[in-house]
Amino acid sequence: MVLSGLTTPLVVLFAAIGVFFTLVAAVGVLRLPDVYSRSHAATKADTLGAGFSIAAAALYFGTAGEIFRAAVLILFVYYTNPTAAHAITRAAYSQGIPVWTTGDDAQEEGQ
Amino acid sequence: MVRVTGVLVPVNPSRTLSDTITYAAREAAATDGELHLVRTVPGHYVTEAPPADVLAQLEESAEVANGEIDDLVVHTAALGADVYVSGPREHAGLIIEYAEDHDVDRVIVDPSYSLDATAPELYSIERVFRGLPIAYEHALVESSSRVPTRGEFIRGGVIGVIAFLFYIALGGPTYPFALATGVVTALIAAILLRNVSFESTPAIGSALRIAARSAVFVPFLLWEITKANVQFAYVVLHPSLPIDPYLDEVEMAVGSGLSVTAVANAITLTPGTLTVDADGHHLLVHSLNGAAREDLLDGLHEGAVRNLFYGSDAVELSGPGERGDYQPIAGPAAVTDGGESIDGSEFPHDGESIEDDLDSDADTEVPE
Repeated sequence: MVLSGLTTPLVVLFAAIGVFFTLVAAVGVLRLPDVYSRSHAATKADTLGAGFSIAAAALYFGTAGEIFRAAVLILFVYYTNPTAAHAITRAAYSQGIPVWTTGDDAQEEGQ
Repeated sequence: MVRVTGVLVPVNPSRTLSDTITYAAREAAATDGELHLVRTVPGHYVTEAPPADVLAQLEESAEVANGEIDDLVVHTAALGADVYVSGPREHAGLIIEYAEDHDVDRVIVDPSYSLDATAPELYSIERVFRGLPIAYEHALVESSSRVPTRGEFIRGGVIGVIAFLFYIALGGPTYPFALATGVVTALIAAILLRNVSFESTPAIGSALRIAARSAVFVPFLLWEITKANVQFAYVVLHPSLPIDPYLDEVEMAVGSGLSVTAVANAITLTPGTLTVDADGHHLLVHSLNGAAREDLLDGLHEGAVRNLFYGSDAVELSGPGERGDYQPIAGPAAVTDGGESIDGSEFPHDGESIEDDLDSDADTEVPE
């Protein structure tokens, strides 16, 4: 498929945004203190990261069928991402894993 | 005063309902008791009055009972129209409360009773009753009839049509063999999922209204998701990682599984908030910082979902924060040293409502 003058930069832009937010998700998982806040990283940044990456793919192929499939993919990512986050954090909560708060931080500094 | 005995039957349309009522009417008459027919009504909150079809259903049920035993005293009640209930436990709570208030000593459950259009095997009130101080028994009725009800046909039909259209749209086949496999697939989906996919039998009017309101809700949600990502990127990439997490139990003013799920997922997808657990319409929400928590307590998500399901009249309700429908469980002020904190008043440390409160000091792990 030959890309026209306008689609190429758009595809590149969308892919770049997608990669950026996926990177943010990864950094978030590494930097945040506990399972609950890390789940924020895994759901949110990833959602937009995946959304933009899929949108870039849809633009690249450009046919109606591919765009529909991409839209359905995004829809399912938006349904399943929060569900996975609930499952993980709910399991953590029922195991009694404490929630990290800034109070803990103060305690740490006080010691 | 002579104490009369009472027999209670939870009412919901099913193929064995009228047999159950007949049975209960006979049982009530045998003990010179009164018959209570009650129905829990999820999802009708704007007017705070039970919908007309529920009242008609109760009326009809009372006629069935009086048709069996002429002079039987029959009470009917629609429960929960002015409160928010979701899930079998909260429905059972309403029934038990009614039973206690009205001298009910027996509860007779229709063997195919279900809270909504979901198969009773998946979502049963008996499982909840078993754990609660209430005696119940099943009506002795023949439930051998396997003829699908009208509701089952409608739900199955809707699922079949959606599944077929999805199949065609996804694969785009036009030759007869593929269309035939599509029909077979849609039929299988319709038969298997007729009592799983819907909470209530879909009606054209409300489906269209919800579809129209989605045109506002979906862009709103997408915009909030985009904001969530930008704010989150800022927080994560900021050198000092400015987070200030809270955990709250929030009581959402929505009823029925679908709307609670919508609120829970909207919360998870939007800025700095994450639903950890749900119990009925009580959600356990983790907020990454104070601003995100403000949005939550102001009813940002709740309002949007209320608008989607109940229409714009429903948006005027104040948020859970203003209503006081929340219970802080962990937060910066509830310093984990046994509850004695600077702002102790702001966080009464007694949030043990959903499950065990998190153990406060000894095993609090300090992250690296």
